[in-house]
Amino acid sequence: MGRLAIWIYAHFAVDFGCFYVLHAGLKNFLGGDLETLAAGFLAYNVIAFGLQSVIGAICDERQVWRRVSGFAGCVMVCLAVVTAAVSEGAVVWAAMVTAALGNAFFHVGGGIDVLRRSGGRMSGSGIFVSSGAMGVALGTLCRAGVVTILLMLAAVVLTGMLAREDMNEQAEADKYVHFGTAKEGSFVLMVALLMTAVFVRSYAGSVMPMEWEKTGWLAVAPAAASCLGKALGGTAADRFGAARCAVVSLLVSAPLIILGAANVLCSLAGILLFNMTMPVTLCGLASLMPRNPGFAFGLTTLALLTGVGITYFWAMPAAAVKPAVAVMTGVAALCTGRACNNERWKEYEKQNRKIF
Amino acid sequence: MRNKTERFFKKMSNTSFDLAAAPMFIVAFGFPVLIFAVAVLIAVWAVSRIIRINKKNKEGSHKK
Repeated sequence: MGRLAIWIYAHFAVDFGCFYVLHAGLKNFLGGDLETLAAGFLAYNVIAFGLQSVIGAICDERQVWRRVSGFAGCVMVCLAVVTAAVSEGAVVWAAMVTAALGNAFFHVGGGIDVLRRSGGRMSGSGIFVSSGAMGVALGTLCRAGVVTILLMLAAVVLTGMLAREDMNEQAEADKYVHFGTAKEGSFVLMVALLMTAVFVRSYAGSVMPMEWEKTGWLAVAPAAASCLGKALGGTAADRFGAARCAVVSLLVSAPLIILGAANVLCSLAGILLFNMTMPVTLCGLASLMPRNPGFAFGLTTLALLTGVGITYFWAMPAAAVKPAVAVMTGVAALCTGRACNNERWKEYEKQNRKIF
Repeated sequence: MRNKTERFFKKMSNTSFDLAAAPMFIVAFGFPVLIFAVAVLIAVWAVSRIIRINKKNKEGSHKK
């Protein structure tokens, strides 16, 4: 629990720091040059999300990378935050690239550690990822460099302690991950279905209709709903089964998001339910490749990047948004339902007691 | 030869391509293309790795 708590805090701080660099640094520097700003944000996404599969694959092969990746990521983001806070001018581009690289290293390092130590439970990965949403929302709003630097320094110290603990271990207890999330069947088909679910969810999440004013506390409310959804998703999947949890939450979320787009509570409930699938797809991919948890984690972020990337090149006509979100949610439910089983964690743990 | 050189420079000076604007041109068009190329490269590499893992899994199940 102690390790997970550190990863949760560090994830919040890293995403907070990265979005501080993007908004208080890069956006502030570029001012009204929206085209260059969009290119900068896209570059950040490609480095931060695209490289996670590559870094994850290296971490799967090399023990040292696996042990220090999370800490190294924190250090990089901390350096980027300090650069963005104390300097002005084009140097913020360098800070942005460093922050993106740090983000990629951190997510892979933390993700692998949480997946490895979860004992087959999906709740751990959901809780780990959830705090990032709040980091993104608050980091976007924050303009106080000192606060961000202090947050990042604490994350560096805490993850440094974890890395030191890992380095002192003579041999790793278990470098594989054990989940019983995905159905048995064609490996390539299952990977394709789960990645399609993540891709579709990512794009639908990017164009999701919200017809209410995001002022005051409501500015961070969607992030809080998303955070809660991810955290609850894993626990619900452990309790009721992955496919059941994912399909029910997605199908219930669609009418809430579309028909309740003008109502704050309906919309937030929809966002919460929509995000509950995240730990299911991540653990589904990890269960398909138990020797490659880093690569599995990276594949989910690659699918996320593809979904978000479309929005940089093409804007969906406003009239098509609601029907498209409905169809995409249905497709995500279909893919997840087809790729995952309904085994509850207790049953899985009973069958695999020797491993845990 | 001299005429040829003169003609070449004359032709070059008549083109609409502004050499001074070249860096901005590279930033405006090269940057998104570079980002896109990197993303495509990563995606191709990821697919090849998925196929390799699948092959390894199959070999492992045959050995059992």
